[in-house]
Amino acid sequence: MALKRINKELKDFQRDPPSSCSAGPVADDLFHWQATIIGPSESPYQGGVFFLSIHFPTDYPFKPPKVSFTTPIYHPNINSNGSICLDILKDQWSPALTISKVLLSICSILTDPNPEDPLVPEIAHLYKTDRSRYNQTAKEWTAKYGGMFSNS
Amino acid sequence: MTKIIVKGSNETKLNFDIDLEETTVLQLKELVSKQLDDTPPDSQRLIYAGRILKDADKLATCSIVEGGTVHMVKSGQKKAAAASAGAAPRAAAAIPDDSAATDTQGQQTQSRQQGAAPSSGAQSQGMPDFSSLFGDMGGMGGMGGMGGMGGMGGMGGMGSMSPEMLEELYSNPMVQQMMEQMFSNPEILRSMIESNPMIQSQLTPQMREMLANPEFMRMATNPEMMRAAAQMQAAMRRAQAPAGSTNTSSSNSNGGGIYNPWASTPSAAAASSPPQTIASSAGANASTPPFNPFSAFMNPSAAPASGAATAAGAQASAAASQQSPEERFQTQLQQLNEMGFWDAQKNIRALTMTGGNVEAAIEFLLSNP
Repeated sequence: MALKRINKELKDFQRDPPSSCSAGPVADDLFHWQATIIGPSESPYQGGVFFLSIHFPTDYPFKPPKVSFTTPIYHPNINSNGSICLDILKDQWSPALTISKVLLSICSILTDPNPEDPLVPEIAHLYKTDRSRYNQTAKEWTAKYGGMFSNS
Repeated sequence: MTKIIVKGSNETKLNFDIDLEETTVLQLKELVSKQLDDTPPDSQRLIYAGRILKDADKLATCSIVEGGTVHMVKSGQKKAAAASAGAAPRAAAAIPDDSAATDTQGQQTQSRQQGAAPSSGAQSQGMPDFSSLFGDMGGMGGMGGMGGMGGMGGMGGMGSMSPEMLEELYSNPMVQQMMEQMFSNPEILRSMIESNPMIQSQLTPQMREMLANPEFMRMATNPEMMRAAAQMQAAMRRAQAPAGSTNTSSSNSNGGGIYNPWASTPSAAAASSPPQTIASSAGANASTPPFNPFSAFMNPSAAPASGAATAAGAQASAAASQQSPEERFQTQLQQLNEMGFWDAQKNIRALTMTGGNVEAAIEFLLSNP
């Protein structure tokens, strides 16, 4: 069941991927994917390419996939382990959601962080009180970590 | 030759018809740069399936498929990037200026709508906590509605639950609470029954008596009893024991031979075929001699359903035979929708072919895309 659903998602994803995201199995194990998100242009993350790892639980889609960033990113809702604080990855998960929608939702929190539900309170505080410094730092991190994976 | 698409930023979309076995990533970049001004191959990053493609690789080794989409990101600052790799601290000063921003600006005006869309998509799915609750059970049983208790009318599929699943269900505090609430007040159960004309028509005085009997109600509210009943039912299903022949003699003094509320009537057994809703088993009872309207309610799997929903389900399935497939499989369709199968025509076809069995319909949909 889970495998079939994942297979279907993979096919759908390959056929019509969202334009800022890309994802696919790491190897033969369909339960473990990697994904990339291209930093949204209206955010300090623009120009960066961020890698994520996706683990599907065996009872997917009844349980949400485990998604985390492997590229460091400076964001109020993403901590240094790459864990993402996003409601649909936790209590608001629905079997109707797909990896494509999850990745798009992650893109949306890159553009619009949610400082009211922070994972890194300091960044959330900075985001609320000194937006330009937050943007500055996020850009620096993006350049440092998100831009280095060029053609090597 | 294989068709692939290269998607850039700014809604750029390039189609290529190339030989995956022969073309390297670098060659593809050259093809892209021919079509796009100021995107030399070394400023491109091509991404497929979550991976950055390496210049030297053949496209075939990147497992690109027919019609696959490769994303192109313009890095635009390869030199700056290379420099800052060696002198990372300097990047802080260098990047914030325009070198990075302007270069990528034009290319990176990626639509914000992508960002906006998912959140609405995600939120519109607003699911109550039940989803995770019942998710444990393998998502069986026309949980279609999901929007709230109302949708649980189609819990009928759970008739096929194994005793272990019931066990799990019972150990769930939420279900326990629901059951407790429902049974703590006999009035609720009674009104549930009375609000359903089909059941009411079968309701004999003896049964009314039973409902009024505190002893009986206590039994019905006892999870242990329910569990035992479920196991017994399962056992009887296996043994194909005739209905009514097993009396739960231990404590069921008022059950009697015919009106044994725990009896596994043929229709209760039939409920193990998922398309049947709980309520329809009550309907089927009408034609079975040792009829047992209580099976619908006493069948523990039906218990968590709210009274209104169960009654509604009963009426719905009673009229089912005259309904269009859309109406008849409404719950299952909704369920399929929830699971990401959007094509209503295909869903209906699959459901019709599988007699409304969602699991089988999914199998069918997946194997016949």
